Amino acid sequence: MNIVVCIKQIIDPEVHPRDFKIDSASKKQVQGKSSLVISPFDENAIEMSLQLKARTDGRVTVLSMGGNSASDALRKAVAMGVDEAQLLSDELFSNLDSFGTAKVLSAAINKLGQVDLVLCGRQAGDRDMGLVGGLLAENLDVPCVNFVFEIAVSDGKLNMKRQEEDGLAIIETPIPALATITNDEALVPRLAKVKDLLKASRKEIPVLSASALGLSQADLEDKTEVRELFIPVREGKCEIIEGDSLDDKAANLTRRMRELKIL
Amino acid sequence: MEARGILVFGSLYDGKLSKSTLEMLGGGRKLAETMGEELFAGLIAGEVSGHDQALIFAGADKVFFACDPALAEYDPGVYSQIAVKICREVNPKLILFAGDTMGRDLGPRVANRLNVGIVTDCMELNLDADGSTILMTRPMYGGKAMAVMTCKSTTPQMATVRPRTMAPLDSDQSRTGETVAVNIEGCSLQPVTKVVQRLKEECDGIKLEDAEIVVSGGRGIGDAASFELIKELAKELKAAVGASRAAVDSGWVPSSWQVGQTGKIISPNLYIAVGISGAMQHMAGVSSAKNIVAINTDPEAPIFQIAKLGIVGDYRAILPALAKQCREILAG
Repeated sequence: MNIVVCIKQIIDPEVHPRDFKIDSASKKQVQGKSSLVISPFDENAIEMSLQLKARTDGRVTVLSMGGNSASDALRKAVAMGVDEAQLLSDELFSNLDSFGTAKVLSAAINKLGQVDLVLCGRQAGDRDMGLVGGLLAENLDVPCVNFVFEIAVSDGKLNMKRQEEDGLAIIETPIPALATITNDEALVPRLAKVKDLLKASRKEIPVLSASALGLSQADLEDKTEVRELFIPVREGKCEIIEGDSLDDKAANLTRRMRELKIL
Repeated sequence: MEARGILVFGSLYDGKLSKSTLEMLGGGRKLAETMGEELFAGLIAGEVSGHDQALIFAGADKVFFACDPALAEYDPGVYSQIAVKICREVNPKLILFAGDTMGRDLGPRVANRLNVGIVTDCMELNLDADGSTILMTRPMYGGKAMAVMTCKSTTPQMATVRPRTMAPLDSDQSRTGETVAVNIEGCSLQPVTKVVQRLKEECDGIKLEDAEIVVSGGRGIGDAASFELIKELAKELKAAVGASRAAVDSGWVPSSWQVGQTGKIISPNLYIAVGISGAMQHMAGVSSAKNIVAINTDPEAPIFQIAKLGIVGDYRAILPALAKQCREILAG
């Protein structure tokens, strides 16, 4: 089975709120001292692809649209075990919204030959829009299942487990199809081995530009706009329960919860 | 024909209008009045069975209904095609989809086919001073920031609405309105995907969504075995057990326990957050909890800016003591 995983490199979303800064002019997060990482749900998607690869004797290609630094994200995916990586990079691709991004990704996927399954994270860990998967499926004209955490292949069909409001649904789709992947205890991303990281660091990552993908500015028009970005003010008025020992604190907390009729 | 009105796309849950649908109609009604516009509802379903009346009682002026036994189950391809048909027939200024499993899938597809933008996960919709642009406020960066976004096209503008952010109206049975049956002749009703099975979550204790009290653990718990301490306190309090995404991603607990922006959205009377830093993407799941109590070793953890009561200290010592206290108090 030929699997494509689309990943995005983002500023580490685990940054402490104290160190989280935005630039109100560009309406973006400021990187500061934070490192760049693969968006967490995209890492779950890589893990899913590698589990499928092992079960189906498949081949995995990972794609990322971004600047030069995104090749680090691709190399990490290679070290985790994917077979091929491509960087989609062009001046025209900077600052694209979800619609433009889906256009670039579909152009790249259409050049790959036979693709059986496309995986995306359910939403990027920075802008959280959750649009690219669905739009990409529309562009590729394949069925899409969202919030998937398990995929089984049988009889030329896919059975995907979708997370729902209070349970799950098993959805059968033909091949090819697209799934957006959500986190699950069975999709904890594997750690790359040091020797594989070293090997991946020497791997040549092909770069595809807009012209190589047959795209021009007219194909990539934004359909949404960020007017304003701000950090909401939080009011801290937490009553810290004191006590001579932790036992004491626990007793005081219980008493206080009774007084406030919380308990 | 000039675009008019706001169109809310409804969804069904367990054979009834979903909570999200009622919330969108409540929020949509307010915005429609500000704009001097009508509020329309669209619904695709297997049978009408009074849903049209329910939509009107909940605030819609007019209902556009596509109904066929073949439409009982959601299929992205079939529903997108019919939803686009409804949107073209209504020709609204703004289209709203619910931020549920169906809406988050269907909304972007419809936007793509109408060749317009869509903004997801909106918590607030306001009319801009220009009198036509809708300002859509939504979280970004896991909730650490808020963004005001707009669609570049003016008709239609589209959004998905985050559950539990808009207030539904009380069902008013005296409201009347017209139901229009949408002609789906010529639409393919042949689904590409098939729901093989649907499983409701199995839960040995109390369901997270229904629980009055929830005890939840995060990264600070440290390992899977230590979640036993969380479970023990939950048992004493007759509470449900929850977790942050970090605990799920560490493989300690099943994803069905996850509370937050990409997990369950709950509104207990008491939420006890243990070893949870208070990242906004987690807190988005408990923003309507009435009381939050935090236990954390880091006095600087953001959870202490949100919680009502807090203890700074090691949960391993605090939880057993708390469980004992609660047992004594609740026993009489």
